[in-house]
Amino acid sequence: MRQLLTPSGDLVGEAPFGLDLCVRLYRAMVVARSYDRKCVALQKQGRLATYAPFEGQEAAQIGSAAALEPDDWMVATYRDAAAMWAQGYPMELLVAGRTGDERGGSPPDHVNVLPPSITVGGHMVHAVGLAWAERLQGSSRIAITYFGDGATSEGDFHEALNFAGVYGVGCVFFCQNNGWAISMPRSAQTASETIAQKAIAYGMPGVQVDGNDLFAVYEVTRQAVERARAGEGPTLIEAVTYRLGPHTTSDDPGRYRDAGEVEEWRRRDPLERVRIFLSERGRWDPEWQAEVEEKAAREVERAVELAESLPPPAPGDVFGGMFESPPRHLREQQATLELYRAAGEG
Amino acid sequence: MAQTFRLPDIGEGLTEAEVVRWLVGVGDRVEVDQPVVEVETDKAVVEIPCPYAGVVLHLGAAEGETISVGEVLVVVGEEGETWPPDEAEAPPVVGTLPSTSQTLPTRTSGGDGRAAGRVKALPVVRRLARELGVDLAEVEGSGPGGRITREDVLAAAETKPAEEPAEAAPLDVEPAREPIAGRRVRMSNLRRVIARNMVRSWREIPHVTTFDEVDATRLLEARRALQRRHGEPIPLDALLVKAVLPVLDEFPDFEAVVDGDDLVYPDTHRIGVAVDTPEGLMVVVVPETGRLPLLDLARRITQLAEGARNRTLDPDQLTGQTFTVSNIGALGGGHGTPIVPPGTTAILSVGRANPKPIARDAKIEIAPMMPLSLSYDHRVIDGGQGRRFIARLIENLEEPALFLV
Repeated sequence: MRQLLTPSGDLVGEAPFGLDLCVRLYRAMVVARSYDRKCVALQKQGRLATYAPFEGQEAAQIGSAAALEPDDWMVATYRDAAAMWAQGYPMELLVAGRTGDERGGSPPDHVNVLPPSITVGGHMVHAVGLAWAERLQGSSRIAITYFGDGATSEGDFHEALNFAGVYGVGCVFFCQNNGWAISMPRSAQTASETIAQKAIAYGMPGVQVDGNDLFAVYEVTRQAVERARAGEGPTLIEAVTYRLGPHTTSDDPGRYRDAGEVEEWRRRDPLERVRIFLSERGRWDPEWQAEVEEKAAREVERAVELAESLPPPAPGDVFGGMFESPPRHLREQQATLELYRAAGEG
Repeated sequence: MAQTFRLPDIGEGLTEAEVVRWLVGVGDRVEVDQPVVEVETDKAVVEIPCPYAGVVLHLGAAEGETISVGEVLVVVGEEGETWPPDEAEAPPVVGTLPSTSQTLPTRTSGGDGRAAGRVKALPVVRRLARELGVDLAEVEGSGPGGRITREDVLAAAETKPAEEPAEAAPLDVEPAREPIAGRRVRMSNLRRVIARNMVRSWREIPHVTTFDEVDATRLLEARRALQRRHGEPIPLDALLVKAVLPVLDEFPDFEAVVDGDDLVYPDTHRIGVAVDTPEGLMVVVVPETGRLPLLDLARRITQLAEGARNRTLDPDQLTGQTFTVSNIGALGGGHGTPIVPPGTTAILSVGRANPKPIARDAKIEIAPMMPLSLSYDHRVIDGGQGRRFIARLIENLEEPALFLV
């Protein structure tokens, strides 16, 4: 397993970036954690629908997204808000999406991030399609797709990797193996020793990385992205990480995993080791931390305010989100709705 | 200005939650998103964070109390402020669904021509109204957007003209007297449900109980032989249920349910088996009981009983039985007068088989005699039929071959 920064903050290789970028990415991880905790609170206040927290997976998401160009495609899931935000998806739309507002699923045109997939695994083939389309159009844009360990048991995982391998498509498959597919442990998910080794069967490189190590995640993703951009084909990355919270706000993980396991992973916190690294190089002190946290909280508050101040959507808006020109059956449903509403007002 | 935080829907379809523990008290200062209370829902104990900063002015419920989604959880305001405020101001509200400016009309269900969608009330409130016999269409809602609250329904129930005793109206209360000094403990959810059901049965059903006892020698031998052959435990309940089924086929009135002036005979047997759990008695229901071979029935009952003790059963595994068997033998029970569960017509209680002297062929023998108590709804069943039912059941229990084939 690739590792550059140990849980105690020791560098065991060459840092893939300078201190300034390191500080920027650390700040981004603080924002991500602040966003995540805020969303959990909002859900418990009845202001968000079910929410899937990612606390513990910040390095995997921020580190990998940092290795992309701003216009590369990202196709991610409901647990990947940090990666999506880092790739330009407006935070207020991420929040709005979790309130059930369809507009949360329509990012601005210049943002090449698809709305989060709720269906497990189905989105990986979309990423392959996007990367292939870019190739056919002669562009150098690549695609990255995020998924969990559970998604590797879905048929779509096979289709996506097989197609990408055969066509040498510029797609990076980024698996956040967080140990649990809801209540099913990784050991019950697959007989493979690692998820990374599945890449061999599809004729692509597979690499396992410490997913809580910002440095190593950035490094292996950068290499995979370079390969993809150079037309050398896809890569499967297995980032070994841990979901510290519940699967979603409707889940009680205490029923299927023990507190000791969670404690052990707390000690491998992805933020803490970067904090120690920066501190030892004179770039961190408690005052600065407080300032970073306060700024992060303000940024998150602002996004929540924006999302909550959106005027409520009209009942018919739901038909506008998917198609350039809606197919007939949807136009019929829309007409029925209008008739129904007209009758109600009469 | 005081800000009211109402219990939000924090899970899919949550309607109510029990306040387990307050993490703050009136007068405490709270920050935005600070956890203020632990509530227990159907799924888990959850800490709820407050969306406002300020001083706690009011807690909406006592620990142990159950409140509905949309009811006041906590009120937060400025130092020195009082609650309720002197002037009636509308405080901002977070945590309820915003009331839509327009309600989609629901198709009228015909008949009285009343639009079913006009009444705004949470499902728990609707249920309460049903239980108290309150017609929601005649209640004015005091909640947000005209929503009918639990208080509205309780108030309406009190002013309702006393035409006939309401279905589950509170029992006649004695004139107010001094509260008894002593420890006060709120009943658990399960205990409260049991209490409601018992009151309903006792008021509605004219009970008769008939007693007898049966020589269980052959039954216990058969059970031992079956356990030896199959190498797995066979709860006595499974054999009792098997013995009852053919008797129910012969006397279907014991499963018929009174509905107004009609009797409704269910299509299939759904036998309920009483299970003693640490939190109270639960009746687990075996669907399609009549189709299960003995071993399957035994396993099913074992599984359901375990599920009941772990509280992992779905509601539909605990309701809708057509007849109930309550084996109190393990607890050493003798004869009793079981109460017929609401929605059914009869219940059989079986006690422990204790060795007793009996007269047989002018001689005295010792045999394990098992006490039987059969309670039934006297509206449906006469005494003679009750005797015939229990006599046929005794025949079966004395000779298991009669029901095992």
